Amino acid sequence: MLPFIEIFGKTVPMYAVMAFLGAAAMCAVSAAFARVRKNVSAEDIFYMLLYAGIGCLIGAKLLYLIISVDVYWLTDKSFTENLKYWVQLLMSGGLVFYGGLIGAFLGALRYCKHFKIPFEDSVETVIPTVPLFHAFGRIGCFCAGCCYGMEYDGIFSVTFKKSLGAPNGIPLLPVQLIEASGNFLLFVLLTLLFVRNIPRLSLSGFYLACYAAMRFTLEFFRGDIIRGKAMGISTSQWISVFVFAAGIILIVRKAKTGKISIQK
Amino acid sequence: MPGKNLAIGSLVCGILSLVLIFVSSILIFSNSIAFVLPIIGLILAIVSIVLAVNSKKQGFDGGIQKAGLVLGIIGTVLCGITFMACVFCIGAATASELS
Repeated sequence: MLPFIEIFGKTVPMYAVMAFLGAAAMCAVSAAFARVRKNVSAEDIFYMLLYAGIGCLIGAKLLYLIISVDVYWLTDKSFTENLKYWVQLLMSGGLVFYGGLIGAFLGALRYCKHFKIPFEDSVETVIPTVPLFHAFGRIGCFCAGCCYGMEYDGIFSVTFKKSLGAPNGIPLLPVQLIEASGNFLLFVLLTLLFVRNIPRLSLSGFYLACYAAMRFTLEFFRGDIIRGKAMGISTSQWISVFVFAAGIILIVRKAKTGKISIQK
Repeated sequence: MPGKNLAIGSLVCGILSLVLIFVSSILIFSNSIAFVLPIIGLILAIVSIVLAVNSKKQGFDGGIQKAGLVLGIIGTVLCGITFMACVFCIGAATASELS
């Protein structure tokens, strides 16, 4: 739709602009949430998000490189040529959400452990804003034309004309916008639950289970088949299965013990 | 004062990251090294953020620390934008060019 925009005479990828707008919205809303809860300072939440953001960038890029091994490791080229090619890939683009989520988790964990901040309270404060950030990212995907849906010629179908990734001139299901809408809904739902402050409800577990279920389903409607696949389902669906299980474990643990962490 | 050296380090890294992104935007398409500069700039910007946060946590709360943090964030955003795209987009374009 709109893969690039001009800012001060420079061509900037729309996906990156939306991702950073989402990150800014996430920081602002998280700081407001921290003021509501008051058991974690807004400053600590901001610094934790910076660490999480760094982890997110590294994790999303690493998983992208890992799942691209079979697609981009050219067997007819030498090791040096492949390495050069990978350096170009590293710098040219490609991020995977699940890698970012794991990286962000590790970044936040590192911050909380290092500065002795209550990790569970901090994560529970930030988690409702994760789908908000992700929704912005998916709108960015739609603008760039990546992560596109299967061929579909019905109501609300979209035909790209100058997309970098999606097939141009073919009507497609706007699966990016469906996922963005789902994420916005999840953000609203998590915010309501956060404000109501229901004891023994793990918002992290709730988010992980809901998002994993949504992602697993939406993967069947994706049309970009040039991604990792194993035993008939995509890499993201495999990760969704484990993320869903992790979410359920968190919900059950919090419901039983009132705590997520296993520390005594 | 504890944390002051970290704050100065943060400021230096933040300034360097912005210089690198500026140089890479001038050199782009004219020199192959311009391709690598945003990555080095991004690493310096990340180091700048980490140093600024550590400085603050050690008790230093001066303008140098704040400037280092802000420059680090700006550097991360600017450097990140230059090499960030969603899965498939540019990656696939690169693959088709090289294969």
